Amino acid sequence: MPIPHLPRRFLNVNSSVLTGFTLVELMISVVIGALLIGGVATALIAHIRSTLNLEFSQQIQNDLSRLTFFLETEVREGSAISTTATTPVANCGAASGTTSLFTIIVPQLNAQGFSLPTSTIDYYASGTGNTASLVRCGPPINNNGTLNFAGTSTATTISTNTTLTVTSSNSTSVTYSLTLRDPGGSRSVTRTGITNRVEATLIN
Amino acid sequence: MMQRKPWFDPQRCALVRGFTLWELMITASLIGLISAIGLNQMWGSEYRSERVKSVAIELAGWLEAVRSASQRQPGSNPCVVTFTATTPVSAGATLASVSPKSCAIEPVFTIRGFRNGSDTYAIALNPSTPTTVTFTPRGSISATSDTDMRIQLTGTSEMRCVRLTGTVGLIRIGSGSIATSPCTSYVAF
Repeated sequence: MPIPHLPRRFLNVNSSVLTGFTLVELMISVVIGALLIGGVATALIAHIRSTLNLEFSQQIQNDLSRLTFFLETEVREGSAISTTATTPVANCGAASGTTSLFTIIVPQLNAQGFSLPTSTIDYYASGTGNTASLVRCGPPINNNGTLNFAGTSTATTISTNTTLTVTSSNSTSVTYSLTLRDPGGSRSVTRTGITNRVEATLIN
Repeated sequence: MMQRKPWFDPQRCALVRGFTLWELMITASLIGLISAIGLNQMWGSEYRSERVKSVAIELAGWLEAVRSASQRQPGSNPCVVTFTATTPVSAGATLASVSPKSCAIEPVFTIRGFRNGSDTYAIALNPSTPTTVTFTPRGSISATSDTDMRIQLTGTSEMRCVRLTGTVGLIRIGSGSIATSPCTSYVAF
């Protein structure tokens, strides 16, 4: 049966159009398809990996911001800062020999604004290396954000897999570097801060 | 001389005359069927894990929004999140709510529907009390130890935990398999 609009090659009874696809033709199309899919999949996987890395960095930066905000709030309320290595108050139950990284001396004000004896907030490290935690020993926090001076000072873990290093300090400010690690310890992000002045650096 | 039947009939052999459309369609559907079974074996658990992970990520994002809003809230009226741990729940169920309403764009966090909302989840809060957590303007939370919301896809061993760490309230997502046990690995998102 003649098909007038097809070129002469396809009118040959041996050609593929009139007789169907041959095995070789099918195999070539399958190989081309597989190559295309492989290329797209490689690009997609690379994209997913970089997105996960980005999410990790953003999450760690968020956590660092929160910790920095909290530390700065506490330091701002203090009347003085002491980095003399002191043992955290006994009722916080720190392991013997533990010394604080720094101590904030907080004035107690009563409802009339009169100053009562000062209270202290200690920060110390629990554990060592990648699994070290940052612990706070101080008065409990009320729901409205003020300190509950009447409450018993308790030790609470502020952040796990965290190292706080005090690089220098005086009675009015503390310069610190805060490092957060992922639980595997393979990646970490460090941020340095001087009480309320913060500059961020990303270390991979 | 008698005409001998050729040993090789080109009209009957696909190698020479090519494959017909029907042969190709049957082959394609068979490959599709086999790969569907194979993919389910290989990636089925991955798919189930994504279905529960998406709920955990949405809850973590919602909590993150509440946390940011809580720092703009006056100390006299801090943001209080109430967790709801009921089992089983499906799409549309409430997992958490916050008051006052100014603490989040959506004051109530509900599970969004997957697979036409046919998925159900087992939700557990650990510790089971208190069910409320206050986000103070100081950047801390009222709970001094970790609070976990465990979300398990019913009928599977896929579980994710959304953790609010004590005092500072950092948000973590962990994975586990048994609703009565804690999640084992907590990673940043």
